[in-house]
Amino acid sequence: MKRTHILLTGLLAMFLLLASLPSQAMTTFDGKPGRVSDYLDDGKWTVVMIWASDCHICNKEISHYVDFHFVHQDEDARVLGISIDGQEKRAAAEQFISRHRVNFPNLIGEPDEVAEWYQRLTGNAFVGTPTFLFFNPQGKLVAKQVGAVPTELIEEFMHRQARAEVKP
Amino acid sequence: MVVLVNGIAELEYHRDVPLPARQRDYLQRMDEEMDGGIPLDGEMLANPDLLQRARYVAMSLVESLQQEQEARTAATLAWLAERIPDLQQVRVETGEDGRVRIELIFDRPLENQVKVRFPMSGAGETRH
Repeated sequence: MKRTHILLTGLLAMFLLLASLPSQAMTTFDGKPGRVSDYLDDGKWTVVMIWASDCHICNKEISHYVDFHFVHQDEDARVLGISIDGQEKRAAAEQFISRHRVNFPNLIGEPDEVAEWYQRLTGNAFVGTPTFLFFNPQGKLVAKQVGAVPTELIEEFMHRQARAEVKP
Repeated sequence: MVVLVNGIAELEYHRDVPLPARQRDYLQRMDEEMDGGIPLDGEMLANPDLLQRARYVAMSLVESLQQEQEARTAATLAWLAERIPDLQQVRVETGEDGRVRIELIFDRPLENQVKVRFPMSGAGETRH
């Protein structure tokens, strides 16, 4: 009985540990293992954009996030991209980055792995691209948005959150 | 498959992302509920065909997008993309009177818009 209890406790601990881990399948475009957590909790906002090279909206809107990153990267925020193209369409993802002169760091993962990571993180099924996740300067996920979001709204959101934190 | 609202592409569904088991079950439940009939254009359809179901689900998708209900958006979008593999675009137009018009496009994917930079007349020239 006690042994069963220990086994169950061990399994539960293992499940909790696995659930908290980021997707191991994500890599940088240099092929090194990549984690979203590597880019968080350094006193800046991190806007994670999940994109795909064949996503029409991503192709149309990416320039706004490139500009956003350019303006904010040395101050209060950065963009981190996650491509769901996977290794099969890696070349297309690289072309996307080059074509749009994407200036922010990017990770790439298999579509199912990224969707699973998203679901584990947010509790919701992955809907489509683009999808945005907003991590505050302490690295906590504070908001998400399915579909494109104007960068002015992101700035407004960041300022609103900062003001709310200052209030006693 | 792309969803466009008033001409603006809002969201793109990727059929190569496998559906989680729970989501697949939910789509099955949607099918079963629609088997019992659906209200469409002011009347109750006892045996809706696939296109009528698609219009009904697309209406629900529009509502969920307007109300920012992520889970419902995910379910309705997945239903449309998975049950109708040929569906390429869902175009939603909202009229001034508030009426919503939905167009389902099967035969053409949305083309990427490409920026074309025209040379400006006189560019590089010095005028005196």
